[in-house]
Amino acid sequence: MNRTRTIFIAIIAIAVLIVLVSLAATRFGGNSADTGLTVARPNAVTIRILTALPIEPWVRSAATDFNNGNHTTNGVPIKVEVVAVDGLTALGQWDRNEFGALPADADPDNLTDEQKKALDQFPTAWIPDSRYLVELANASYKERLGRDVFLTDGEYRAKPIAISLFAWGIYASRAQVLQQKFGDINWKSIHDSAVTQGGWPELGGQPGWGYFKLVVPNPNKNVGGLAAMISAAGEYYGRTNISVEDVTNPQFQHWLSELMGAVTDFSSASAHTADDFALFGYSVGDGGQLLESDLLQNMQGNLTRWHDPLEIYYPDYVTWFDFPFTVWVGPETSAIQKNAALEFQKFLLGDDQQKAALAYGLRPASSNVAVDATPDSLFVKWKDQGVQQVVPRTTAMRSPDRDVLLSLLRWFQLNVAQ
Amino acid sequence: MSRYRRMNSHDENRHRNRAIWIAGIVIVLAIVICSSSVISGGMWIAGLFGGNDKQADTAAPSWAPDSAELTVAASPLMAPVLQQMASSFNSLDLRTPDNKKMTAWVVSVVPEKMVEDSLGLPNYQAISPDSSLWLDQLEQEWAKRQQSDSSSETQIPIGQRRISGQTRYAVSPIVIAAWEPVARSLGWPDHPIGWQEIQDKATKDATFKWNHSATNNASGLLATLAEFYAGANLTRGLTVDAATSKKTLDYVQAVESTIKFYGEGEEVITQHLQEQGENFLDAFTAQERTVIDWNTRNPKRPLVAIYPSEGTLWTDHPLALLELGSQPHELAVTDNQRLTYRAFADFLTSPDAQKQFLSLGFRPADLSLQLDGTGSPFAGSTYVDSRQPQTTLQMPSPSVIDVVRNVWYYTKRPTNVYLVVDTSGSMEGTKIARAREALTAFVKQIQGDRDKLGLVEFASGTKTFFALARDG
Repeated sequence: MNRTRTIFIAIIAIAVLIVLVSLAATRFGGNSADTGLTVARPNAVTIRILTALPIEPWVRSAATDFNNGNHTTNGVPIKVEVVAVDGLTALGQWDRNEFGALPADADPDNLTDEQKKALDQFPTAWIPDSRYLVELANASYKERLGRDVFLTDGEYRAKPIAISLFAWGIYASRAQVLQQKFGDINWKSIHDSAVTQGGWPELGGQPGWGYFKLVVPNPNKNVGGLAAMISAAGEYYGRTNISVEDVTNPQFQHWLSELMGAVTDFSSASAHTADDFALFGYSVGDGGQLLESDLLQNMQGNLTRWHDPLEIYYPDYVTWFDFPFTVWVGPETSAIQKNAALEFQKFLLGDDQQKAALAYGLRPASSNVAVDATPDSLFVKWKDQGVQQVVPRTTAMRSPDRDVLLSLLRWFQLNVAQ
Repeated sequence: MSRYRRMNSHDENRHRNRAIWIAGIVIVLAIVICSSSVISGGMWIAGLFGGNDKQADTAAPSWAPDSAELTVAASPLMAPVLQQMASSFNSLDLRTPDNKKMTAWVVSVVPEKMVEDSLGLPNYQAISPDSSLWLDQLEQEWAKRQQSDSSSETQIPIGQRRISGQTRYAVSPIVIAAWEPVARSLGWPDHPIGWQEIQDKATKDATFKWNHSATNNASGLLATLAEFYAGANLTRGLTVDAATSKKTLDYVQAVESTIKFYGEGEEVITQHLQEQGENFLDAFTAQERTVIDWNTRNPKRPLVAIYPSEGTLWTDHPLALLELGSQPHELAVTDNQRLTYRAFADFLTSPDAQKQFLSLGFRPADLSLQLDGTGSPFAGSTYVDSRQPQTTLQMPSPSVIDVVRNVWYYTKRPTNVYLVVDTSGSMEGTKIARAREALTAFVKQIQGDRDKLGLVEFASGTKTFFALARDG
């Protein structure tokens, strides 16, 4: 065998070896975000995005623009489907594996047609209300699969796409009376109003207003209900970090029961609390702590239907939602779907869509865009109703851990929902 | 000739053979058909009397895997409106991606029955009760059933839902509808009028005729809830203990005994008003929309909407998709039906449909529509007030709602019932089986511990006697 022939055979052998090693790495590599269903190059790729309710109108509108914009990944056209779901409800669905994630030992390349069909509806990405919901979902899957399913660093890490916070929204006629009676509007003055036996006449309001009615989202339908209870706990204890001991303290629970006793109707409340607030007006609620973006979106509706504008007040202990765009990294979705999701994420973070978010009362995640950047920004439109462009973050409530969340939900189920 | 005869004979044989074959095939087919008929007929009869699983199979509603037909159960008051809307929707000839025509059908079902049906095997895929409180009742009951399957205490106990995709398209507060002279005699429009005034009037003035509908719909439920609140002397925080205290129940019983025409929905009441006028009733509870509708059709005999000063309740007419498919014999809602649901919900919340709801006297979900704008039935009316209601009664917990729904049971006198059953030879077979079913159904209706049951079994003479005892 001459030298040229030897070199030729060696090169061929090395090439074969590289190919084999690459295949083995792909097959057994485990956690890489690029792993996934091996699919033939499709004509189009569809991605399903589970989207938190407060940002769903904006994301759906952005998805329409995106779908009409002929966006591609590696030359393949992308179609975005938005699925609206409350963050806490989605967490429950992840927890119970209702979307059908494969077991840890499943081979994604050897699925039956039925298994592949079941994965057609698997979400490619999730935009929950807050980062802590992603952490709780990861914790659940770590126990089940031994790995994270949403990455917190690297290319596929969760990125906030918009920001909002919880603020008091109170009908102007009622807010004036409360301010005269208590000065500041906070959980303490709201609690004092809630326990006033004589109702509004005793507080200085009109007899026809009945008793003071608090608006709190139903935690079974809207993660904002949980946020409100944690915010109330923060103010009750005067700190931002709340523990299980805090929320199981009988004195705190009694105080919280009195607050919840001022809620008119949890049973008929929909997942869209601020919409209900506007639709039924002061007849069902005088005010409550709700997401600023939801309040701003409904300001005009409140005014048109009830002729009594809402006023916005910011609490001492602020709960922020950052709406992280989180790509599922497991093998249930293909690499091309994951890359398509990243394309949509980039689109949402572009200046045009960040500006569009202002019309939905959302604060931009991009520092390139100011809250008053556009004429149709709700922060501009409702400036006179108390909307602040800059809110100090020094007293931001810390995210609850799983045990605090479960304790509060159980307390609610046993003491309020039953 | 012989050749010809041979040929003829050969043909005859061939024809005979063919005839025999044909006859054989016919006989075999006949036997097969007859056997099938006998077997299926026998199975049908057996299923009719046997109540076996096969019967459950055939009883379960079914639809094609690619069906785009959506059936919606709507409350009796809303059903005619939604039927019209569905007709307009169907005429749009909307298509699914696989070119199936999207079609919506609307059937009228009492809200309480909707809840019962939806826990079983409903023959519809979406519901639109008069209030979300029925959805909550459904979810609570569904969650109870699911919890028995839930193993982990560390799981987030949220998201197990029998319904999804909830949409509101129109709302209407519940009011006390009264003839204008009656309303004025009660103090309208100068003084606030509450449930208490109506109940006092009814208990003190024997000539005052008022009515509320049954508790299987929202307006009847609210009127009864208001009686419980008044009886317990509360406006919020009503508990089961307070609702079932003797003082409260005595009060509710006294008020309920003044009801002149009990058990029908407000659509039936307005029909009687049309026929009998002021002689029929002085006042009744109804959706505000009913008052507007009446006044549009009867401008010379107007009704006044009284917004009770203690507070009222809203009918909010949610449209909700049922999440079917998790029970044995139950088909899941198809992808195409989901598309039809979405399209129908979008249609109901479209600007044109929302304006139509407003013209019919509902308050549309679209908040950009002004209730007092030009052409609105609220504009310029002295009989309804779009700034009302000012406050609502607090909706108590589902356990208190159960008490209110069962007001008849709580306020009626305790009952002693003897069941007398013939178990003689003439009852053998299906008769005794059916009698057993009927008795079981009856016993299930005897709730709690206030009623007593006894049993007498007889043939030619008394065979068994069980003395009165509480249902155990």
